Amino acid sequence: MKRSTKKSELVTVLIADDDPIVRQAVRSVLDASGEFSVVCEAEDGKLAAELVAETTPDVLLLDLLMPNLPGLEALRALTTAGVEVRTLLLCSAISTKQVLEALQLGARGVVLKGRVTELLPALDAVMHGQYWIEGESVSNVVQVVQQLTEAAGQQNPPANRFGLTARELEIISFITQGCMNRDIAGSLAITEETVKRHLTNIFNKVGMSNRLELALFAIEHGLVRK
Amino acid sequence: MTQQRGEEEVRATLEKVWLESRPQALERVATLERLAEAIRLGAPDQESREIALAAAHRLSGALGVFGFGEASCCAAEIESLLAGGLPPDGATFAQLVARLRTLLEEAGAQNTAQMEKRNT
Repeated sequence: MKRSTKKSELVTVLIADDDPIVRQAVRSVLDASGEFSVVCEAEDGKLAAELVAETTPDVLLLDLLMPNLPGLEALRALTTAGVEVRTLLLCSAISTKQVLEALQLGARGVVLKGRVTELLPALDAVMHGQYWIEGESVSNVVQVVQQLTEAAGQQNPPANRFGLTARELEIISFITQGCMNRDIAGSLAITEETVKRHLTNIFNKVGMSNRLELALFAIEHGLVRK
Repeated sequence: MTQQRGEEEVRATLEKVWLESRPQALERVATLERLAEAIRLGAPDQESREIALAAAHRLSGALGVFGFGEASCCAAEIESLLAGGLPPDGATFAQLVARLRTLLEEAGAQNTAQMEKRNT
């Protein structure tokens, strides 16, 4: 592990990768940009999760295959512990399923090591509240997730395993399309208050806490039909 | 800074880091070559295989970062052969390692030429 002084005016980054050569390369690129400060490095997933909690960087650059704790498990540990950090996966290869899982765990995108020249625009996008998927800045992550799901051939028929009513499934379908409560209320000829009540029930049934989580969950579990 | 200029600067930075990191990368190839020789002699032990697997994994990632796509793929292929658990086929393994060595040497020469061009 290597630490350096945190410079508050720069975007702070923690690099988690088991290879010191990769860490050095990424650190050099970030240092040379003059916009980022690498506050910490971790050579395994467990250490990465601990150091993120301790140093609270703005961004975590996370490899997938690492000793002790794989990248996605480290991300899961951070999410479970409620640690907030913008996470970009920086990996050699990743399956669509892993991208979906990472997004559901709160990752903000993926940069492949073979396309590391995209790292700075990806970080810029993430710092501006966007996602970075397949070499592009993305604002509507739900739409991207739908496309990825289709690409992965995971578009299963709706499978209701969570005790959701037909109306609740209907509302979930609107949520995955990025509709606001007002739009849903208009389409279903019900009040916004009723939509909110349905959403509260849905969140309780599936254990999600916001619309994005719900949309990703619904797509991954085949709760909506395209 | 335009995106294109940003990419050029990133490449220039990576070229410098590559020059420093190349000996380490070649040492990893040497690790793979030692395993290839052990396989040829019929005496690869589990520990050597694990060390070689880690070397191939790291090479695959690092070579990708430096823009050596073909060498990175070659290292990934070696990694996948070793990750199978069983001793890899000796001839295939040795061929891939030799290919990786050649690709890295070519990459080194290409990199030096690019840096010289940039500095003139």
